[in-house]
Amino acid sequence: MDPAELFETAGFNWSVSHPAGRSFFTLETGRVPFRAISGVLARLGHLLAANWGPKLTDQDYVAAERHAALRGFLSSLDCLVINRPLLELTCGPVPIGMEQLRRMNECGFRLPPMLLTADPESALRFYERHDHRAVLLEPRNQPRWRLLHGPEGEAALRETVGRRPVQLLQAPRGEVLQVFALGGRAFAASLPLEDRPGADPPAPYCSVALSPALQARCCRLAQAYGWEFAQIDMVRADDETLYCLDIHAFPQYDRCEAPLQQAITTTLAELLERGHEGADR
Amino acid sequence: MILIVGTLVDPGAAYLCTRLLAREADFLLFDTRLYPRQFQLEWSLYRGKVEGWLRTPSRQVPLAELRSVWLRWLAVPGTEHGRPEQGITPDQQAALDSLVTFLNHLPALVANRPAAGISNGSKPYQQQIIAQHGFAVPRTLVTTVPEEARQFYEVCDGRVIYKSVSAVRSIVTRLTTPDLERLDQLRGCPTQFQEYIPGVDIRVHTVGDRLFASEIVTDATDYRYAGRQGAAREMRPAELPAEIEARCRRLSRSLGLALAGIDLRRSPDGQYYCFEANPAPQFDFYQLQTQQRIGEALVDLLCE
Repeated sequence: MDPAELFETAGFNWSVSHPAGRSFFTLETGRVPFRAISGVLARLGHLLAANWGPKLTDQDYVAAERHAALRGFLSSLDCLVINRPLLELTCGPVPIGMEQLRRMNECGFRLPPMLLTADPESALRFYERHDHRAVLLEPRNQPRWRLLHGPEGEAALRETVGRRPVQLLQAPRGEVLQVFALGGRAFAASLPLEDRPGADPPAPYCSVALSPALQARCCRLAQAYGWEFAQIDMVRADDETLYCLDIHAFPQYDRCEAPLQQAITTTLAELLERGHEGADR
Repeated sequence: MILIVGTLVDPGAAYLCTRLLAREADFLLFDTRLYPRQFQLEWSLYRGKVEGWLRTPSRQVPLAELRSVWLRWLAVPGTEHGRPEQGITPDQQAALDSLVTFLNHLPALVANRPAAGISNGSKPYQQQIIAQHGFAVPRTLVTTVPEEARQFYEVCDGRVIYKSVSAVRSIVTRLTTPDLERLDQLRGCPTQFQEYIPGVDIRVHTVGDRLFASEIVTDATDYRYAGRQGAAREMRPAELPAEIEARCRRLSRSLGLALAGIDLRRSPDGQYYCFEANPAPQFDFYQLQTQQRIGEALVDLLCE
Protein backbone atom coordinates (compact mmCIF):
# COMPACT_ATOMS: atom_id res chain seq x y z
CA MET A 1 0.00 0.00 0.00
CA ASP A 2 1.45 3.33 -1.02
CA PRO A 3 1.17 5.45 2.13
CA ALA A 4 0.61 8.56 0.04
CA GLU A 5 -2.42 6.94 -1.60
CA LEU A 6 -3.54 4.70 1.21
CA PHE A 7 -6.29 6.97 2.41
CA GLU A 8 -7.40 7.77 -1.12
CA THR A 9 -7.79 4.15 -2.15
CA ALA A 10 -8.46 2.22 1.03
CA GLY A 11 -10.75 2.54 3.99
CA PHE A 12 -9.20 2.69 7.44
CA ASN A 13 -11.06 1.77 10.58
CA TRP A 14 -9.23 1.53 13.88
CA SER A 15 -10.92 0.75 17.13
CA VAL A 16 -8.25 2.36 19.29
CA SER A 17 -9.56 1.59 22.74
CA HIS A 18 -10.61 -2.00 21.95
CA PRO A 19 -7.82 -3.88 20.19
CA ALA A 20 -10.17 -6.81 19.67
CA GLY A 21 -12.78 -4.51 18.13
CA ARG A 22 -13.59 -3.84 14.51
CA SER A 23 -10.28 -2.69 13.07
CA PHE A 24 -9.57 -3.18 9.40
CA PHE A 25 -8.57 -1.81 6.03
CA THR A 26 -11.02 -1.99 3.17
CA LEU A 27 -9.41 -2.66 -0.16
CA GLU A 28 -10.90 -3.26 -3.58
CA THR A 29 -10.46 -6.95 -2.92
CA GLY A 30 -12.21 -6.89 0.42
CA ARG A 31 -11.68 -6.22 4.08
CA VAL A 32 -8.37 -6.93 5.85
CA PRO A 33 -8.76 -7.12 9.63
CA PHE A 34 -5.80 -5.68 11.52
CA ARG A 35 -5.54 -8.95 13.47
CA ALA A 36 -4.78 -10.74 10.18
CA ILE A 37 -1.65 -8.65 9.72
CA SER A 38 1.37 -10.70 10.78
CA GLY A 39 4.08 -8.30 9.69
CA VAL A 40 4.47 -4.78 8.37
CA LEU A 41 7.16 -3.07 6.39
CA ALA A 42 6.44 0.62 6.93
CA ARG A 43 8.03 3.25 4.74
CA LEU A 44 5.95 6.27 5.59
CA GLY A 45 7.88 9.18 4.11
CA HIS A 46 5.74 12.25 3.72
CA LEU A 47 2.04 11.75 3.35
CA LEU A 48 0.77 14.46 1.09
CA ALA A 49 -2.83 15.35 0.50
CA ALA A 50 -2.49 17.39 -2.65
CA ASN A 51 -5.98 16.51 -3.86
CA TRP A 52 -7.67 17.74 -0.75
CA GLY A 53 -9.01 21.25 -1.16
CA PRO A 54 -7.30 24.29 -2.57
CA LYS A 55 -5.94 25.74 0.65
CA LEU A 56 -2.52 24.83 1.89
CA THR A 57 -3.85 24.79 5.42
CA ASP A 58 -6.43 22.13 4.52
CA GLN A 59 -3.72 20.06 2.88
CA ASP A 60 -1.50 20.41 5.89
CA TYR A 61 -4.34 19.44 8.19
CA VAL A 62 -5.25 16.32 6.24
CA ALA A 63 -1.61 15.31 5.91
CA ALA A 64 -1.10 15.73 9.65
CA GLU A 65 -4.20 13.67 10.42
CA ARG A 66 -3.14 10.90 8.09
CA HIS A 67 0.35 10.77 9.49
CA ALA A 68 -0.89 10.80 13.07
CA ALA A 69 -3.39 8.02 12.39
CA LEU A 70 -0.81 5.81 10.69
CA ARG A 71 1.84 6.38 13.29
CA GLY A 72 -0.56 5.59 16.07
CA PHE A 73 -1.83 2.51 14.26
CA LEU A 74 1.65 1.15 13.50
CA SER A 75 2.72 1.72 17.10
CA SER A 76 -0.27 -0.24 18.36
CA LEU A 77 0.16 -3.42 16.33
CA ASP A 78 1.21 -6.55 18.16
CA CYS A 79 2.95 -8.03 15.15
CA LEU A 80 6.37 -7.37 13.67
CA VAL A 81 6.58 -3.81 12.33
CA ILE A 82 9.65 -2.78 10.37
CA ASN A 83 10.03 -0.13 11.62
CA ARG A 84 7.65 0.82 14.34
CA PRO A 85 7.46 4.60 14.13
CA LEU A 86 8.77 5.41 17.53
CA LEU A 87 7.53 8.91 17.81
CA GLU A 88 10.36 9.98 20.04
CA LEU A 89 12.86 9.38 17.28
CA THR A 90 12.21 11.59 14.34
CA CYS A 91 14.42 12.57 11.47
CA GLY A 92 17.47 13.68 13.41
CA PRO A 93 20.77 13.32 11.66
CA VAL A 94 22.71 11.63 14.41
CA PRO A 95 21.46 10.77 17.86
CA ILE A 96 18.35 12.67 18.83
CA GLY A 97 19.57 13.35 22.32
CA MET A 98 22.26 12.56 24.83
CA GLU A 99 20.63 9.25 25.75
CA GLN A 100 20.98 8.03 22.16
CA LEU A 101 24.56 9.24 22.08
CA ARG A 102 25.24 7.21 25.21
CA ARG A 103 23.76 4.12 23.56
CA MET A 104 25.92 4.69 20.51
CA ASN A 105 29.04 4.89 22.63
CA GLU A 106 28.05 1.76 24.53
CA CYS A 107 27.90 -0.10 21.25
CA GLY A 108 31.45 0.94 20.44
CA PHE A 109 30.83 3.79 18.02
CA ARG A 110 32.06 7.33 18.24
CA LEU A 111 30.44 10.47 16.98
CA PRO A 112 33.07 12.64 15.27
CA PRO A 113 33.40 16.19 16.58
CA MET A 114 30.31 18.11 15.52
CA LEU A 115 29.71 21.83 15.04
CA LEU A 116 26.42 23.59 14.49
CA THR A 117 26.73 27.21 13.48
CA ALA A 118 25.38 29.94 11.27
CA ASP A 119 28.62 31.88 11.47
CA PRO A 120 30.62 31.54 8.22
CA GLU A 121 33.91 32.22 9.99
CA SER A 122 33.33 29.49 12.55
CA ALA A 123 32.26 27.01 9.90
CA LEU A 124 35.33 27.72 7.83
CA ARG A 125 37.61 27.51 10.84
CA PHE A 126 36.20 24.07 11.60
CA TYR A 127 36.73 23.08 7.98
CA GLU A 128 40.33 24.27 7.96
CA ARG A 129 41.11 22.76 11.32
CA HIS A 130 40.02 19.35 10.04
CA ASP A 131 42.22 19.30 6.99
CA HIS A 132 39.75 21.00 4.66
CA ARG A 133 37.27 18.20 4.97
CA ALA A 134 33.90 17.96 6.68
CA VAL A 135 30.66 16.07 6.49
CA LEU A 136 27.68 18.35 5.99
CA LEU A 137 24.53 16.88 7.51
CA GLU A 138 21.32 17.35 5.56
CA PRO A 139 18.83 15.07 7.26
CA ARG A 140 15.85 16.04 5.13
CA ASN A 141 17.68 15.34 1.89
CA GLN A 142 18.78 12.18 0.16
CA PRO A 143 21.53 11.40 0.74
CA ARG A 144 21.32 12.71 4.29
CA TRP A 145 24.90 13.92 4.34
CA ARG A 146 27.67 14.79 1.94
CA LEU A 147 31.40 15.13 2.11
CA LEU A 148 32.90 18.54 1.53
CA HIS A 149 36.57 18.65 0.72
CA GLY A 150 39.13 20.87 -0.93
CA PRO A 151 38.41 24.25 -2.50
CA GLU A 152 35.12 23.04 -3.99
CA GLY A 153 33.95 21.90 -0.60
CA GLU A 154 34.94 25.23 0.89
CA ALA A 155 32.95 27.10 -1.75
CA ALA A 156 29.93 24.89 -1.11
CA LEU A 157 30.25 25.47 2.61
CA ARG A 158 30.48 29.24 2.16
CA GLU A 159 27.40 29.21 -0.02
CA THR A 160 25.38 27.07 2.41
CA VAL A 161 26.34 28.80 5.62
CA GLY A 162 25.50 32.11 3.99
CA ARG A 163 21.89 30.97 3.79
CA ARG A 164 21.28 28.86 6.88
CA PRO A 165 22.87 27.21 9.92
CA VAL A 166 25.01 24.21 9.08
CA GLN A 167 25.72 21.07 11.01
CA LEU A 168 29.19 19.73 10.34
CA LEU A 169 31.03 16.63 11.39
CA GLN A 170 34.71 16.04 11.17
CA ALA A 171 35.24 13.64 8.26
CA PRO A 172 37.53 10.88 9.49
CA ARG A 173 39.78 9.33 6.89
CA GLY A 174 39.05 5.72 6.23
CA GLU A 175 36.56 3.39 4.69
CA VAL A 176 32.94 4.47 4.62
CA LEU A 177 30.62 1.62 5.40
CA GLN A 178 26.94 1.66 4.91
CA VAL A 179 25.55 -1.01 7.15
CA PHE A 180 22.02 -2.33 7.03
CA ALA A 181 21.17 -3.99 10.32
CA LEU A 182 18.16 -6.16 9.81
CA GLY A 183 16.62 -8.53 12.34
CA GLY A 184 19.87 -9.75 13.81
CA ARG A 185 21.90 -9.70 10.60
CA ALA A 186 24.07 -6.93 9.23
CA PHE A 187 24.80 -6.32 5.56
CA ALA A 188 27.43 -3.86 4.52
CA ALA A 189 28.62 -2.00 1.52
CA SER A 190 31.84 -0.10 1.19
CA LEU A 191 32.92 2.90 -0.79
CA PRO A 192 35.66 5.45 -0.42
CA LEU A 193 34.26 8.48 1.39
CA GLU A 194 34.94 10.70 -1.57
CA ASP A 195 32.65 8.61 -3.76
CA ARG A 196 29.47 9.14 -1.74
CA PRO A 197 26.32 9.11 -3.87
CA GLY A 198 25.87 12.57 -5.23
CA ALA A 199 29.46 12.61 -6.35
CA ASP A 200 30.12 12.51 -10.05
CA PRO A 201 30.02 9.86 -11.40
CA PRO A 202 27.95 7.86 -8.91
CA ALA A 203 29.25 4.39 -8.26
CA PRO A 204 27.40 1.45 -6.72
CA TYR A 205 28.21 0.44 -3.22
CA CYS A 206 30.07 -2.88 -3.22
CA SER A 207 29.34 -5.60 -0.69
CA VAL A 208 31.82 -6.03 2.07
CA ALA A 209 31.99 -8.77 4.65
CA LEU A 210 31.83 -7.64 8.25
CA SER A 211 33.41 -9.52 11.08
CA PRO A 212 30.89 -11.27 13.36
CA ALA A 213 31.88 -8.87 16.14
CA LEU A 214 31.16 -5.81 14.04
CA GLN A 215 27.89 -7.30 12.80
CA ALA A 216 26.87 -7.86 16.40
CA ARG A 217 27.77 -4.29 17.33
CA CYS A 218 25.69 -2.89 14.49
CA CYS A 219 22.71 -5.05 15.39
CA ARG A 220 23.02 -4.04 19.02
CA LEU A 221 23.02 -0.39 18.00
CA ALA A 222 19.87 -0.84 15.90
CA GLN A 223 18.21 -2.66 18.78
CA ALA A 224 19.22 0.10 21.18
CA TYR A 225 17.23 2.48 19.01
CA GLY A 226 14.30 0.05 18.84
CA TRP A 227 14.60 -0.57 15.11
CA GLU A 228 14.35 -3.89 13.31
CA PHE A 229 15.88 -2.37 10.21
CA ALA A 230 18.40 0.43 10.47
CA GLN A 231 20.92 2.09 8.25
CA ILE A 232 24.17 3.02 9.90
CA ASP A 233 26.58 5.15 7.94
CA MET A 234 29.98 4.90 9.48
CA VAL A 235 33.63 5.41 8.82
CA ARG A 236 36.11 2.72 9.74
CA ALA A 237 39.17 4.85 10.32
CA ASP A 238 42.66 3.72 9.51
CA ASP A 239 43.21 2.96 13.20
CA GLU A 240 40.00 0.80 13.17
CA THR A 241 38.02 3.32 15.21
CA LEU A 242 34.36 3.31 14.15
CA TYR A 243 32.77 6.72 13.65
CA CYS A 244 29.04 6.93 13.20
CA LEU A 245 27.99 9.61 10.75
CA ASP A 246 24.31 8.79 10.69
CA ILE A 247 21.80 6.24 11.87
CA HIS A 248 18.20 6.16 10.83
CA ALA A 249 15.18 3.95 10.38
CA PHE A 250 14.55 4.58 6.70
CA PRO A 251 17.29 2.55 5.01
CA GLN A 252 18.06 3.39 1.39
CA TYR A 253 19.86 0.49 -0.22
CA ASP A 254 19.12 1.25 -3.85
CA ARG A 255 22.71 2.47 -4.31
CA CYS A 256 24.12 -0.93 -3.37
CA GLU A 257 25.09 -3.44 -5.98
CA ALA A 258 22.32 -5.79 -7.06
CA PRO A 259 23.26 -8.96 -5.12
CA LEU A 260 23.37 -6.98 -1.90
CA GLN A 261 19.99 -5.41 -2.60
CA GLN A 262 18.62 -8.86 -3.27
CA ALA A 263 20.05 -10.27 -0.05
CA ILE A 264 18.49 -7.45 1.96
CA THR A 265 15.15 -7.86 0.25
CA THR A 266 15.16 -11.61 0.79
CA THR A 267 15.96 -11.21 4.47
CA LEU A 268 13.21 -8.63 4.81
CA ALA A 269 10.72 -10.99 3.20
CA GLU A 270 11.81 -13.87 5.43
CA LEU A 271 11.50 -11.73 8.53
CA LEU A 272 8.07 -10.52 7.59
CA GLU A 273 6.95 -14.04 6.79
CA ARG A 274 8.02 -15.22 10.21
CA GLY A 275 6.28 -12.30 11.88
CA HIS A 276 6.68 -12.45 15.64
CA GLU A 277 9.22 -15.21 15.37
CA GLY A 278 11.30 -13.00 13.12
CA ALA A 279 11.10 -10.17 15.58
CA ASP A 280 12.40 -12.40 18.33
CA ARG A 281 15.54 -13.41 16.52
CA MET B 1 21.14 31.90 33.16
CA ILE B 2 17.62 30.97 32.12
CA LEU B 3 16.60 30.93 28.49
CA ILE B 4 13.05 31.85 27.52
CA VAL B 5 12.45 30.83 23.93
CA GLY B 6 9.61 32.83 22.44
CA THR B 7 8.29 36.34 22.13
CA LEU B 8 6.50 38.68 24.49
CA VAL B 9 3.36 38.28 22.38
CA ASP B 10 3.01 34.89 24.07
CA PRO B 11 1.39 35.52 27.47
CA GLY B 12 3.33 32.59 28.93
CA ALA B 13 6.67 34.06 27.90
CA ALA B 14 5.60 37.53 29.03
CA TYR B 15 4.56 36.21 32.43
CA LEU B 16 7.81 34.32 32.94
CA CYS B 17 9.92 37.32 31.92
CA THR B 18 8.01 39.55 34.33
CA ARG B 19 8.47 37.15 37.21
CA LEU B 20 12.14 36.56 36.43
CA LEU B 21 12.69 40.31 36.34
CA ALA B 22 10.97 40.62 39.71
CA ARG B 23 13.27 37.98 41.13
CA GLU B 24 16.27 39.65 39.52
CA ALA B 25 17.09 36.35 37.88
CA ASP B 26 19.47 36.31 34.96
CA PHE B 27 17.54 35.38 31.85
CA LEU B 28 17.57 35.80 28.10
CA LEU B 29 14.62 36.06 25.75
CA PHE B 30 15.46 34.21 22.56
CA ASP B 31 13.23 35.11 19.65
CA THR B 32 13.67 32.34 17.09
CA ARG B 33 12.09 34.45 14.35
CA LEU B 34 15.31 36.44 14.39
CA TYR B 35 17.54 33.37 14.29
CA PRO B 36 20.14 33.09 12.85
CA ARG B 37 20.58 36.68 11.71
CA GLN B 38 20.21 38.71 14.91
CA PHE B 39 20.03 35.88 17.45
CA GLN B 40 22.82 33.43 16.92
CA LEU B 41 23.73 30.07 18.28
CA GLU B 42 26.85 28.03 17.91
CA TRP B 43 27.57 24.77 19.62
CA SER B 44 29.81 21.82 19.29
CA LEU B 45 29.54 18.28 20.53
CA TYR B 46 32.69 16.36 21.20
CA ARG B 47 33.04 13.28 23.37
CA GLY B 48 29.59 13.87 24.77
CA LYS B 49 30.30 17.43 25.87
CA VAL B 50 28.26 20.35 24.58
CA GLU B 51 30.05 23.69 24.28
CA GLY B 52 29.15 26.94 22.56
CA TRP B 53 27.31 30.19 22.96
CA LEU B 54 24.13 32.09 22.32
CA ARG B 55 24.34 35.62 21.04
CA THR B 56 21.74 38.35 20.95
CA PRO B 57 22.29 41.90 19.69
CA SER B 58 23.22 42.90 23.23
CA ARG B 59 25.13 40.00 24.76
CA GLN B 60 26.78 36.64 24.34
CA VAL B 61 26.20 33.79 26.77
CA PRO B 62 28.27 30.61 27.05
CA LEU B 63 26.07 27.52 26.94
CA ALA B 64 27.74 26.26 30.10
CA GLU B 65 25.92 29.05 31.94
CA LEU B 66 22.49 27.89 30.79
CA ARG B 67 20.75 26.02 33.57
CA SER B 68 17.22 25.87 32.19
CA VAL B 69 15.11 26.62 29.15
CA TRP B 70 11.41 27.19 28.64
CA LEU B 71 9.65 27.08 25.31
CA ARG B 72 6.08 26.61 24.23
CA TRP B 73 6.69 26.34 20.53
CA LEU B 74 9.35 27.34 18.06
CA ALA B 75 8.51 30.27 15.81
CA VAL B 76 9.80 29.62 12.32
CA PRO B 77 12.98 31.62 11.69
CA GLY B 78 12.68 34.46 9.24
CA THR B 79 8.92 34.90 9.59
CA GLU B 80 7.01 37.88 10.90
CA HIS B 81 4.46 36.05 12.99
CA GLY B 82 6.19 32.77 13.57
CA ARG B 83 4.46 30.80 10.84
CA PRO B 84 5.33 30.98 7.15
CA GLU B 85 2.52 32.17 4.93
CA GLN B 86 3.62 30.26 1.85
CA GLY B 87 4.99 27.08 3.35
CA ILE B 88 8.34 26.64 4.98
CA THR B 89 11.45 27.03 2.83
CA PRO B 90 14.32 24.51 3.00
CA ASP B 91 16.52 27.13 4.68
CA GLN B 92 13.88 27.90 7.29
CA GLN B 93 13.43 24.18 7.88
CA ALA B 94 17.17 23.74 8.32
CA ALA B 95 17.25 26.59 10.83
CA LEU B 96 14.31 25.12 12.71
CA ASP B 97 15.89 21.65 12.69
CA SER B 98 19.10 23.08 14.11
CA LEU B 99 17.15 24.59 17.03
CA VAL B 100 15.34 21.31 17.65
CA THR B 101 18.62 19.40 17.66
CA PHE B 102 20.12 21.92 20.06
CA LEU B 103 17.20 21.80 22.47
CA ASN B 104 17.18 18.01 22.44
CA HIS B 105 20.87 17.86 23.29
CA LEU B 106 21.40 20.76 25.68
CA PRO B 107 22.53 19.38 29.05
CA ALA B 108 20.15 21.54 31.08
CA LEU B 109 16.54 21.42 32.21
CA VAL B 110 14.40 22.05 29.12
CA ALA B 111 10.67 22.49 29.62
CA ASN B 112 10.03 20.85 27.29
CA ARG B 113 12.43 19.22 24.89
CA PRO B 114 10.89 18.98 21.40
CA ALA B 115 11.43 15.20 21.41
CA ALA B 116 9.36 14.88 24.58
CA GLY B 117 6.37 16.50 22.94
CA ILE B 118 6.14 14.25 19.95
CA SER B 119 3.84 11.65 21.53
CA ASN B 120 1.14 14.31 21.47
CA GLY B 121 1.46 14.38 17.68
CA SER B 122 -0.68 11.25 17.50
CA LYS B 123 -3.43 11.33 20.09
CA PRO B 124 -4.37 7.65 19.67
CA TYR B 125 -0.73 6.76 20.20
CA GLN B 126 -0.59 8.85 23.34
CA GLN B 127 -3.89 7.38 24.51
CA GLN B 128 -2.27 3.94 24.60
CA ILE B 129 0.50 5.28 26.83
CA ILE B 130 -2.08 6.98 29.04
CA ALA B 131 -4.03 3.74 29.43
CA GLN B 132 -0.84 1.95 30.49
CA HIS B 133 -0.65 4.39 33.41
CA GLY B 134 -3.97 3.19 34.76
CA PHE B 135 -6.25 5.97 33.57
CA ALA B 136 -9.63 5.22 32.07
CA VAL B 137 -9.80 6.25 28.42
CA PRO B 138 -12.93 6.77 26.36
CA ARG B 139 -14.00 4.36 23.64
CA THR B 140 -12.23 5.70 20.58
CA LEU B 141 -12.54 5.09 16.87
CA VAL B 142 -10.34 6.54 14.13
CA THR B 143 -11.95 5.96 10.78
CA THR B 144 -12.44 6.97 7.19
CA VAL B 145 -15.42 4.63 6.83
CA PRO B 146 -18.73 6.47 7.14
CA GLU B 147 -20.75 3.36 8.01
CA GLU B 148 -18.42 2.58 10.90
CA ALA B 149 -18.69 6.10 12.27
CA ARG B 150 -22.46 5.78 12.05
CA GLN B 151 -22.38 2.45 13.87
CA PHE B 152 -20.08 3.87 16.57
CA TYR B 153 -22.60 6.66 17.06
CA GLU B 154 -25.35 4.10 17.56
CA VAL B 155 -23.31 1.88 19.89
CA CYS B 156 -22.55 4.94 22.02
CA ASP B 157 -26.25 5.89 22.09
CA GLY B 158 -25.54 9.07 20.17
CA ARG B 159 -23.09 10.32 22.80
CA VAL B 160 -20.04 10.91 20.63
CA ILE B 161 -17.55 13.71 20.09
CA TYR B 162 -15.02 14.20 17.31
CA LYS B 163 -11.65 15.91 17.30
CA SER B 164 -8.32 15.89 15.50
CA VAL B 165 -6.05 12.85 15.50
CA SER B 166 -2.88 14.95 15.32
CA ALA B 167 -1.60 17.81 17.45
CA VAL B 168 -3.34 20.30 15.17
CA ARG B 169 -5.70 22.14 17.45
CA SER B 170 -9.35 21.40 16.89
CA ILE B 171 -12.54 22.22 18.76
CA VAL B 172 -13.95 19.14 20.44
CA THR B 173 -17.48 18.88 19.05
CA ARG B 174 -20.50 16.68 19.73
CA LEU B 175 -21.55 14.56 16.80
CA THR B 176 -25.21 15.16 16.09
CA THR B 177 -27.79 13.39 13.95
CA PRO B 178 -27.57 16.03 11.18
CA ASP B 179 -23.79 15.39 11.06
CA LEU B 180 -24.49 11.81 10.03
CA GLU B 181 -25.59 13.15 6.64
CA ARG B 182 -22.08 14.41 5.91
CA LEU B 183 -20.06 11.44 7.05
CA ASP B 184 -19.02 10.84 3.46
CA GLN B 185 -16.52 13.64 4.03
CA LEU B 186 -14.54 11.25 6.21
CA ARG B 187 -13.22 9.40 3.19
CA GLY B 188 -9.59 10.35 2.75
CA CYS B 189 -9.19 12.02 6.13
CA PRO B 190 -9.05 9.77 9.19
CA THR B 191 -11.12 11.32 11.95
CA GLN B 192 -11.17 10.57 15.63
CA PHE B 193 -14.49 9.83 17.33
CA GLN B 194 -14.81 9.29 21.05
CA GLU B 195 -17.56 8.25 23.34
CA TYR B 196 -18.75 11.36 25.15
CA ILE B 197 -17.88 11.10 28.83
CA PRO B 198 -20.11 13.22 31.03
CA GLY B 199 -18.55 14.80 34.07
CA VAL B 200 -16.32 17.56 35.30
CA ASP B 201 -13.22 18.62 33.42
CA ILE B 202 -10.03 18.82 35.39
CA ARG B 203 -6.83 20.29 34.00
CA VAL B 204 -3.77 19.12 35.85
CA HIS B 205 -0.49 20.95 35.45
CA THR B 206 2.56 19.07 36.57
CA VAL B 207 5.57 21.31 37.10
CA GLY B 208 8.47 19.09 38.00
CA ASP B 209 7.10 17.22 41.00
CA ARG B 210 4.54 19.87 41.86
CA LEU B 211 0.98 19.51 40.74
CA PHE B 212 -1.95 21.89 40.29
CA ALA B 213 -5.46 20.67 39.56
CA SER B 214 -8.06 23.06 38.20
CA GLU B 215 -11.71 22.11 37.95
CA ILE B 216 -13.77 23.49 35.10
CA VAL B 217 -17.53 23.51 35.37
CA THR B 218 -19.32 24.16 32.12
CA ASP B 219 -21.97 22.78 29.83
CA ALA B 220 -19.75 23.35 26.81
CA THR B 221 -18.32 20.25 25.12
CA ASP B 222 -14.95 21.99 24.81
CA TYR B 223 -14.54 24.29 27.79
CA ARG B 224 -11.83 26.29 26.05
CA TYR B 225 -14.49 27.59 23.68
CA ALA B 226 -17.35 27.90 26.16
CA GLY B 227 -17.96 31.52 25.24
CA ARG B 228 -18.18 30.70 21.56
CA GLN B 229 -20.67 27.96 22.35
CA GLY B 230 -22.78 30.30 24.47
CA ALA B 231 -22.07 28.38 27.67
CA ALA B 232 -20.93 29.61 31.06
CA ARG B 233 -17.63 28.45 32.51
CA GLU B 234 -16.38 28.42 36.04
CA MET B 235 -12.86 27.41 37.01
CA ARG B 236 -11.48 26.76 40.46
CA PRO B 237 -8.68 24.90 42.22
CA ALA B 238 -9.43 21.25 42.87
CA GLU B 239 -8.19 18.41 45.02
CA LEU B 240 -7.40 15.02 43.49
CA PRO B 241 -7.11 11.61 45.12
CA ALA B 242 -3.49 10.82 45.89
CA GLU B 243 -3.47 7.91 43.44
CA ILE B 244 -4.63 10.13 40.58
CA GLU B 245 -1.97 12.70 41.43
CA ALA B 246 0.64 9.95 41.43
CA ARG B 247 -0.56 8.71 38.04
CA CYS B 248 -0.29 12.23 36.61
CA ARG B 249 3.25 12.61 37.88
CA ARG B 250 4.24 9.20 36.54
CA LEU B 251 2.70 9.98 33.17
CA SER B 252 4.55 13.30 32.87
CA ARG B 253 7.82 11.69 33.88
CA SER B 254 7.43 8.79 31.48
CA LEU B 255 6.81 11.23 28.63
CA GLY B 256 9.85 13.27 29.64
CA LEU B 257 7.75 16.37 30.31
CA ALA B 258 9.03 18.79 32.93
CA LEU B 259 5.84 20.78 32.43
CA ALA B 260 2.61 19.11 31.30
CA GLY B 261 -1.05 19.97 31.00
CA ILE B 262 -3.04 16.80 31.57
CA ASP B 263 -6.71 16.76 30.62
CA LEU B 264 -8.87 14.67 32.90
CA ARG B 265 -12.59 14.25 33.32
CA ARG B 266 -14.18 12.89 36.48
CA SER B 267 -17.26 10.93 35.51
CA PRO B 268 -20.39 10.83 37.70
CA ASP B 269 -19.34 7.38 38.98
CA GLY B 270 -16.00 8.82 40.18
CA GLN B 271 -13.76 7.42 37.46
CA TYR B 272 -10.96 9.60 36.17
CA TYR B 273 -10.67 9.58 32.40
CA CYS B 274 -7.58 11.02 30.78
CA PHE B 275 -7.78 12.50 27.31
CA GLU B 276 -4.28 13.76 26.70
CA ALA B 277 -1.05 15.16 28.10
CA ASN B 278 -0.24 18.50 26.52
CA PRO B 279 3.49 19.25 26.23
CA ALA B 280 2.94 22.99 25.67
CA PRO B 281 0.24 23.95 28.16
CA GLN B 282 -1.09 27.48 28.45
CA PHE B 283 -0.56 27.60 32.18
CA ASP B 284 -1.09 31.36 32.19
CA PHE B 285 -4.74 30.96 31.20
CA TYR B 286 -5.49 28.56 34.06
CA GLN B 287 -3.50 30.63 36.50
CA LEU B 288 -5.48 33.72 35.58
CA GLN B 289 -8.77 31.92 36.06
CA THR B 290 -7.99 30.04 39.28
CA GLN B 291 -5.28 32.17 40.93
CA GLN B 292 -3.19 29.01 41.31
CA ARG B 293 0.51 29.77 41.28
CA ILE B 294 1.37 27.51 38.40
CA GLY B 295 3.65 30.02 36.72
CA GLU B 296 5.41 30.74 39.98
CA ALA B 297 6.13 27.03 40.38
CA LEU B 298 7.51 27.03 36.86
CA VAL B 299 9.75 29.98 37.69
CA ASP B 300 10.94 28.07 40.78
CA LEU B 301 11.71 25.07 38.62
CA LEU B 302 13.60 27.14 36.05
CA CYS B 303 15.57 28.92 38.79
CA GLU B 304 16.47 25.69 40.54
